[in-house]
Formats: sequence, C-alpha cells, structure tokens
Amino acid sequence: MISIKRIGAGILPCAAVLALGPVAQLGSPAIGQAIGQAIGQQTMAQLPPVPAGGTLAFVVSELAPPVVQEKNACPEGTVLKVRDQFLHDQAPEERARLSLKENEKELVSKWQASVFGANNTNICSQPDMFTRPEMRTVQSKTASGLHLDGGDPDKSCAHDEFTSPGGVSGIDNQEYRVMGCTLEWRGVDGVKGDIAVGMRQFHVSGEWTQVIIVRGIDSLKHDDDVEVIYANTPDRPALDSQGNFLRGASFSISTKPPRERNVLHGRIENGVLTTDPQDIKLVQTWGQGGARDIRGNRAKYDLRRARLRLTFQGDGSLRGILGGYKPVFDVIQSPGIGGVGSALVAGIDCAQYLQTLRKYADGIKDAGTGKCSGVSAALQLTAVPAFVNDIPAGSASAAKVAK
Amino acid sequence: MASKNLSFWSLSAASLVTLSLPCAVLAQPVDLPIAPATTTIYPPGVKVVKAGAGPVYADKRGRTLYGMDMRTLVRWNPDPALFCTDACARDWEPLLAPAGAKPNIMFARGFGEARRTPGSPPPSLPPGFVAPQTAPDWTIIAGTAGPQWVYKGWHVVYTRKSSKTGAAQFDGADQLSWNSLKFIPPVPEVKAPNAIKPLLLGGAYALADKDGRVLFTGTCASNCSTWVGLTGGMASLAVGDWTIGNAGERPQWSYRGQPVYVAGGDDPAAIPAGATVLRP
Repeated sequence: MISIKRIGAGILPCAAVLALGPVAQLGSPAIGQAIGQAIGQQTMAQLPPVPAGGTLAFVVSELAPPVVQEKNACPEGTVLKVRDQFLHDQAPEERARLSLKENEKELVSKWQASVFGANNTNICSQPDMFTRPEMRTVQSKTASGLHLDGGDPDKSCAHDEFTSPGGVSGIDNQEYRVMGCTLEWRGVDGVKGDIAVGMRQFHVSGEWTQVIIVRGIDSLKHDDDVEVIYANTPDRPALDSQGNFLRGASFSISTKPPRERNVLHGRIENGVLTTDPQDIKLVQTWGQGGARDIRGNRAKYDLRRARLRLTFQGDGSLRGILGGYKPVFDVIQSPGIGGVGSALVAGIDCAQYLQTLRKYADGIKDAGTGKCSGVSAALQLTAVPAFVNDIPAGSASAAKVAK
Repeated sequence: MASKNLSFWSLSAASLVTLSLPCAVLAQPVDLPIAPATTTIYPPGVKVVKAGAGPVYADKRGRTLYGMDMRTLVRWNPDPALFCTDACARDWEPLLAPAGAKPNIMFARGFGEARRTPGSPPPSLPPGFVAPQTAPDWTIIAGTAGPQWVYKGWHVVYTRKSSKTGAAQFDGADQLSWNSLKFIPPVPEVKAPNAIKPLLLGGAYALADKDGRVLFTGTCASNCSTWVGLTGGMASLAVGDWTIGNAGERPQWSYRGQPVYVAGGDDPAAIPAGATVLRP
C-alpha cells in the first residue's frame, strides 16, 4: 500500500484501495464555521479507521441539487408551466372562458403558439430572444450549500444568503433560489423531484459516473494536507436488487473525452474533508439525438471556484456537498437542447428561467464590468467505498494528463 | 429530420453515442470529431496541408479552413447558416461556392419552426436537398454572402481573415463553434475476420482488433510475454489474406503468412521492439 503526501498531478501511482474493516469511534466533531455547512454532518461520528496506506476510494452514488422540503419555500406553489402561465396572464374573464372544457382546443392552440416567436424562434431553442415574466423563486431562508464567496464582495455580486438546515449562515446557493420552486426540482410528493431521479440514472448508467480517491490521510480527525482525485470512470456501477450501488466494486479513472480528472488539495477536520477552491470539470452529456444533437464535450459540469465538503460516515460512505459557481446557461442546458419539445411537452419556459437566473447571478464576476454571469450552486453528494484504479504512472494516459 | 428532441426533464435519460475513433482524433479539442473523408474531390482551390497537429483542409492560399458548427449556434439564430454577420463577418471569410451554385443543404428543421397543425407530417426536405446527417463531404448552403461550402453536413466553411498558412489556432474557439477542418484519410476497405478494423495511427491506417488494440507481426527474440497472439476459433476459416493456424496452444491468425499479435497495456498502439505494425 502507499502513503503519499503531495503527489504531483501528472505521475500517479495506481491506487486500488477500499475502505473496509472495523469502525473506529471518534469524538464529537466541531465543524468549522468559516467555510460553511455541508449536509451529512454527524453529531457523533463513527468513522472508519485510518487506512494503512493513507488512501480511501469511493464511487459517487448520488449527486443532485439538495431541495429543502418546507412549507414556506414556495408559498404560491411551484413554478407555473407554460400552459398555466399563459392562463395566468389572461384577464379574469378570458381565463375563465378558456378554462371551460369546450374551449380546451382553443386554449391548447393559444398557449402552444405562445412558445414561438418571429423567424422560427422558440423559448427553449433561443431563450435569449424572448422577454418573459419572472418565475416564482424560493422564499424561505433555508438552503443547503457552501459559503462560497467568503463574504468577499470582489468575488461576488450582491445577493441574499441562506442559512443551512443545520443553522449555519452565509450559504450561497442562488441556483436553488431560482430553480428550487420548479416542479422538476421540488417534485409533487414532498420528497424529491424528477431531477434527483434523473440525474441518479446518469450515474447508474456509467455516462456520468464519478469516483473519488483521497490520498495521504494521516488522520480522519485532523490532517491539513490530503490529495483528492475527483474524476470520471467509464465503468458502469453494479447495483443490488434495490438499485443501490454495490460497495467494493472496481472502477478505473479515464480522461478519454468527454471524461475528466480533477486533482484537488484538501484538509480533514473532525471527519470532514474540505477541498480548496478550484475549478472542477466533470462529464455531463446531454442530448437525446436528432438534428441539433450536440452531446459530448460541449456540456459539462463546469463549476468555478468549486469545493467539496464531505463527511466520512461510520458505514464507510462519504456524504456532503459539492459547491461552486455555474454559468447561468448551464442550468438550462438540458431543456435548451431539448428545444421546442421542452416547452410543448414538459411545459418549461427556458427564457423565463434564463432571465431569472441572470437576475440572481452572484458569481463568475467580470472584473471589467462588475457583472456576474454565474450562479452559486450546490450538489448533494453521496459516495460509497470502492476500489478505484487511477491512471497508472508511466502510461500513455498519464503522460497526457501531465501535459 | 423531425425526430423528437425532448429534454431530460420531459423524457428519460440520454443515451451516449459511443464513438470508435482514432486516438489522434480524440486528442483534438473538439468533441464531435470530423469523420474520415469519403472523397478526394474537393471544391475548387481546396487542398490538404499540414497545420497545427496534423493535416487540414486549406484554401487556395494555404489558409486553414474552419467549420462553423451550426449545431452550436442555434441559440443565436434559428438558421445558423445566417449567423455570421457583423462582428463574426469582420473576422471570418466564407468559402464561397461558384456564383450561381444551387444550394443543396439546409439546417435541419423540425425544432424551431412555427408549430404545425396537429397530425400534419413533419416538414420534408425540398427536392434536391440532402439532410446534414447523410450529407456527402461537400455541399452548398445559402449563406450570408451567397452560396457557401459546407463540410460533412454541419460545418459551414470559413477562413480566418489575416491568418497565416500552417496556423490553426482558432480550433475550438467560441465554445467549440469553430473547428479546423481536419483531414482524416478515407477509411480503407478491409477484408478480414469479423472483428478486425482499420485504426488511424500516425496519419496512416493500421489494423486493430475489436477493442482498438493495434495488431502487429514479427519474430520475438526475447521477453516474449508481450507477444500475445490474435486468437481465433478452432473452426475459423480463412478470410482473404487471413489464415488460421493450429500449431500452438490456441488457434492463431496469420496475415499473409505472418503470425499476428495484439498490442496490450495502457497504450493500445504500443508494440514490442522489433515488431511491425500491421497495415491494410
């Protein structure tokens, strides 16, 4: 086994490690406040022992935006679908008339026509070319996420901050503020929305599957110098009969496009791993075929000044938050690629989303104009122990990474 | 095409296209690598030169041709062929087709056009037009300055004004909208056992197995552990220049009488010293 501190990003040994063995008992963690709050925090952590080689490895089994299900988040209800927004915008008498069953055909014709503009444009293919009413946003003051801007106005545009469900203030998550009342995020059952189910499927399928290696661990209680490899794997995870990721499966890291490999520096404090701010890219292919198919590298997880804040769990898993700033259009990349079908079938008003996202943008600040083109964002992450083979040292692939 | 293209939120998860591509192509900064050429007949003045990392198409002055990928620009214009005006037109010069040439391709409709009457058929291509997905290498589109060449159905062809010969620094520019038109040689026809296929390697095609590992031949002098034979079934029959031998522990293919081996390890193109890459 290996015990490595400060490994260069380019030449890396092959790591094949697994977090197994007896569970160690650590004291109550005092979670640092300065860098914000992640979910998955333990009040009395039961942590795995420090691995003999100082290395732990995981496969990411869940990665989706965290939605705080509370009554006052969206007091007016979820964001109106295009049809309902069209009706909402009508005068009361006309709304009542169009709502009659015998006028259903007319209503359908009119609301569907409303998604199109001049010169064959539509609200999802060309969302920049439409002016739409602002959408409903999250009204509560609670959200999960990280304190990304550190309170530095030079790195951010003016915005309100959330308080985490655990009571930590300063949480930056403007993506949630804008998208948190959409039906796709909030769902109809008060548990989870389509986005959580759908994004998980991408990780199950092997399309977006991610792995994490934490190297150079001396202690899970305090270690200010660990290396974190956060990368993609082409290997499809094995599942049990309930659809859960099997622990101890083997994966290999790949940087073959469109997959990515990020090398991060982090520290561990009382069982909580936190990485330094750094841009993170990971595969995120969108597109279901057709003439405008631009699947591939053009869509990615593109998180600026991103960081991981993950808690080692007593069962060997890892839970927490991936936070960073997203370019605003990335948030609507999927329905944008979907084009007019997103508007007509899913009832999504991409132009409305984009306008509102721009209004609440708080990151990726242009030094010249002072304007922000990105939103703070958070993804709830769960990872289970795995064997992960990094790119072997001396290989052709490692040489490419070194470049 | 008018196939439905619905969002992640309205339909199930996407399926990833699995592309089997030469290593050199995968190393390029664009994500949808240009497919191999299918013809050696080019528009007037167009030629193949070396620029950047490899061969590209160039105009008669030797300037690298760039393709403006229409798929990336639909956000800004429902007819991306008409996107390049104003600032774009100040930097980029269209590769025009001969005056009066009749366009035979157009950006695919079916996503942005005004809603059709329910039940009506999707819009069809006008007579004489081809769809981008099935287009030949070179077609003509109605561009902003007249009939303009398109490569491989999607890439409206331009040169960068004031660029020098042999330069390709705008490859991948503007979020992958501009891509140098790499020349990938036409794929040779191979008559071989079913899994063997051509693989572009160092600018020329080699033969590879079903997993993309390069095939080689030669005689091992020492350390023969890396000389892994290309095995076949006991009942395999000869195909063209390929024959099966049963002298060893397992049946092994030979090509033109020479035993065939498979490259291994992390680099599918790495072969032992003294070996020779098998080429079609």
